[in-house]
Amino acid sequence: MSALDISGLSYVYNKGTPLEKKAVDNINLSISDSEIIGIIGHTGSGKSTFVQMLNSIMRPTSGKVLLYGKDIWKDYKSRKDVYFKVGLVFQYPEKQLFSQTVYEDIAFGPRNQGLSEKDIEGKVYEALRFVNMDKKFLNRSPFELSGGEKRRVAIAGIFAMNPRVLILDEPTSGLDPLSRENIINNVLEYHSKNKGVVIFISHSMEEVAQISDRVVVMEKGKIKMVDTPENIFYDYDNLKSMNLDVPQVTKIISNISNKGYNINKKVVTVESATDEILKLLRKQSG
Amino acid sequence: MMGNMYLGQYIPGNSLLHKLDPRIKLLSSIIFMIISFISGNLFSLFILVLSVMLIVIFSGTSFKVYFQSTKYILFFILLSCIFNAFYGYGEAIFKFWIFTVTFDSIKNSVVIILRIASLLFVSSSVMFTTSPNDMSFAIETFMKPLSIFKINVQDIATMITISLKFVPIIFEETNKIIDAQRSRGADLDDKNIIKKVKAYIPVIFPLFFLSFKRASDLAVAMESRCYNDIIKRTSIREFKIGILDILCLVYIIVILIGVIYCNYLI
Repeated sequence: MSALDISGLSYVYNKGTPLEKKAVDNINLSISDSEIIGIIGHTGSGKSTFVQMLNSIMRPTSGKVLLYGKDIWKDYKSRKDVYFKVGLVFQYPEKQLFSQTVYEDIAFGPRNQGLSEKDIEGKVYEALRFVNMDKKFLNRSPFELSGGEKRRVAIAGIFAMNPRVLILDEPTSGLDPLSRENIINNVLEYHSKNKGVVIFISHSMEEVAQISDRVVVMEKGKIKMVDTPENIFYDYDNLKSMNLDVPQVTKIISNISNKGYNINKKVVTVESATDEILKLLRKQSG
Repeated sequence: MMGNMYLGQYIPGNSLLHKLDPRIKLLSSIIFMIISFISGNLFSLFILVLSVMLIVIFSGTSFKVYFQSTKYILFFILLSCIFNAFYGYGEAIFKFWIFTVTFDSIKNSVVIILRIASLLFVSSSVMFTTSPNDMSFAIETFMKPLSIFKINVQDIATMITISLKFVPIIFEETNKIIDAQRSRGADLDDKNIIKKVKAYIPVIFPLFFLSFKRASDLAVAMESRCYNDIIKRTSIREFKIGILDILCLVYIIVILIGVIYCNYLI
């Protein structure tokens, strides 16, 4: 059984008014357990709307989402369970910080889950470990932290609920390179322990190539392609027509190939590119 | 949930009303207010309703949208008018317990409903077709005489523009924060009022924080572009009164005269 079964999902904004706009248009997708899915697409392609429907915070105009075989819209009262099972990190999640201390902010989710104070404390510490932050942060006000730290506290607030499916909407946008790398590593660490599904939206092709098992390409509310990063980024011309890009290393390898060298072009990460180039060098010298 | 329709939202478009000068639109709607309050008998009301329908058609927006954005106000007016109809004086059409329905009271209710509905529709048509920037330009023009009392009209106009511009942004931000807290399990739908107020703290705090931050960012941005009250500023758009604007004024004045004439018919 797949973790998420999405069929015929559509969303129309402002239905029946002059501002009507079809944001998501008939999406069908099946995601299995422990998969990491990267979603790419130009601004306004409906990525955010799509993922918000997976967590039941937005009700689709039509279509169904099955979470481990259960329709998330069937029972209105069980929506809260869905929120906890499908953790959603919104775009710029640091905007939702509100408490006086970091501890209270991370504890907000687990507290709403109805856990005991002792369990909450355990969850908060665990979440803090996932985002690689020191315990001395717990008593500080979230408003006096740096941008990257705020982002990590906000993400820790979702980790603390221990969701089976983790969705992140552009978790690294607007951060410095080091903070970006940190957050990607935090997510990978959470995934390696929890073994659930991770769905994340990003504008950085490097990040998507680095961690996803499958990449979903969206355009104008529709899914254009679903495949492994290697196959997706192999099709540069098609991506270019959708205002998307490929990782820098893929461009380098493609340039080498265009110069007449025999090299495997399906390369998306720095590691595999290094291997391919070394292979080529050995062949040349040997 | 992005961009639900709210009262008086600007809808970009290319209708006749969109092309009118904002000053003319504001002036016309003020004259229209007078028209709707002096039209007292059925003839003048007929003219009033007809002219409102024309304005709605020329605004390029469907009647449905007008009803949608004014439905709550219309509902309350309808309710009070129904009550009004039961407390009439004069010759009774029928009596029931303590209620007396008379021809005059029904007529009164109909007059009030039609007056207020046309007022709402005309002012909505102006709001639908005028962008916040144009609107503040029009308001500034009409407040210019106040500058002899040493009131800085331009500053007030800027304040109005900023407030109008930020309403949809704050609206959207609020919805986003509500969604974010709800997806962390916040109980925002609790029926208990005290619990509900408490549940909204995680929404209100970040909202205040963000609003103050935005205000101070905006102030810095404006100051770094040399915004101050010493220099006389000009508008980025030049407005010229065209043939369409004159036609609009003629239209309104014809209705005004027509309504006054009809008032003396009976």
